[in-house]
Amino acid sequence: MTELYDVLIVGAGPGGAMAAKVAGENGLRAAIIERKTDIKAIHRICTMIINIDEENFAEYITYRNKRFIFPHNGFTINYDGPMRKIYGFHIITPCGNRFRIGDAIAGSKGEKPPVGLMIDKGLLNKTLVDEARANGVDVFTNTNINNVRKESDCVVITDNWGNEYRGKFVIAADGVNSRLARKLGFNKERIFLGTYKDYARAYEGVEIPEAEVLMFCMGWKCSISLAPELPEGHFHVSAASYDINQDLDAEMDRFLSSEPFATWFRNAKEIGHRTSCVSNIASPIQVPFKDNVLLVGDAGWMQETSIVGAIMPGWSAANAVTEALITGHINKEGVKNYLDWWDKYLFQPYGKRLASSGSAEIRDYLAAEDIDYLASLVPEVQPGTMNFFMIMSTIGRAFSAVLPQIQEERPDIMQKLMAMRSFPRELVLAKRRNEGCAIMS
Amino acid sequence: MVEIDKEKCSGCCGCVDHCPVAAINVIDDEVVVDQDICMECLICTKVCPLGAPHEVAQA
Repeated sequence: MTELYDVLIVGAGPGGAMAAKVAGENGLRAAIIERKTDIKAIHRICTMIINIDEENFAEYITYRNKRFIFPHNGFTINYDGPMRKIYGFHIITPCGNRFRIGDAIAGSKGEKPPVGLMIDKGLLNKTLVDEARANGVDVFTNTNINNVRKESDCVVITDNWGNEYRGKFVIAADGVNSRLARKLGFNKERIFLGTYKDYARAYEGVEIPEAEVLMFCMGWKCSISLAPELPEGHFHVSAASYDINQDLDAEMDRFLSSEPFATWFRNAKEIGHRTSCVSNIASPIQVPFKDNVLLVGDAGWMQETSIVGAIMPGWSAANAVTEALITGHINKEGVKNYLDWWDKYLFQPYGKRLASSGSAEIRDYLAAEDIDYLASLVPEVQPGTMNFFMIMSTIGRAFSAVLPQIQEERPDIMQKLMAMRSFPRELVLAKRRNEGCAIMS
Repeated sequence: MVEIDKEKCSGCCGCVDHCPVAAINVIDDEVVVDQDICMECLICTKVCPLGAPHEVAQA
């Protein structure tokens, strides 16, 4: 019989690594299992940004003395590595007009504080796992967890070699497309929102004005984004679509050879390895618990709960497991504090909203010049934020204020907007379901 | 049978996640198809953003 752990943690991303660190500090007999050999390596697309000095899932994170401080939840994490300040989110139209959320010009002069810090996420994960290991947590790398089953006194998870690991609890931090969530049957109750395919190329020698922001470029056949990377002049450009048959490569080439973007990349050279991600997007899970398995981060969410949105559940879940072990309630009741925390700070305020997302694609309705026109209506810089939900509400607020002007000047665009708005969501989702790869059960 | 083009593969593990029978694993940081388990549904070839998994004639 193999060893019975207090808790097994699957996945060494920010959520799992944080859970392992907390489990170690709390004195639990714990193990963290990761399929990569190098915890520091990041192969999936990521902007690696931690939102700071603004509200995020009821937390207000700040960075001081080489630590990210989470004052509301009451913990800190060590990070002593490279960083880059980020001032917000810009939408860039085909002709180069910008709708600015956050002032990168004032920011780079030191006149505005950053709203995000770009970090080396691999280093962050490794730091957390090293701290866990120092506190006695076993670390198994090069191990793919492919199955899970509940026995009377424990949860058994199985790897690709056929080895079994036994734990009183399991924390599933295996990310978007979580295999454990699928195997436990969570997905049957979720709304399938589509298969989202995304890939990125990294470049050096890129010259972009107002670049210390995330840039979302509209008016292309797929979603094109530009994001700075840690070294100066390094950027990645990504192309993404809900249509898995779309030629992302061709559209990225078209983007990079169109002005003003071609000028930004005229001296650029592609470097390093390409990153990518394909996600089955499904609505967030309301109660992230089944058979003594707790889901954290993206495993129980939709996609991109973000680094902090993974770290905080990792922290909360590991503490709840500790309480369950102390009180002897090795069940749902024992980890009630985690489920309450998830419900209060993630699911009720945000998860419900995400579950009802999914709308007609702007690109199916608006032409490139329509998007150029719309962005020109709001030249004022909006208050900076990196909070996804704040970005959405900022866009909504700014453009609802100019609706009368659009109606007056461009009733044709107004009509398109109304047609897009009234297109039934069910039909959007049905289209994506037909085009996507729904492996939801 | 299905093989992974190592030159194209980024290691994002999208195919690993999407495989309905867990025939694809990451071993020594390389994405590998277990031919004994693979049922050639070709979902991996559809979901990969980089076109790394591809069908080849049986050796």
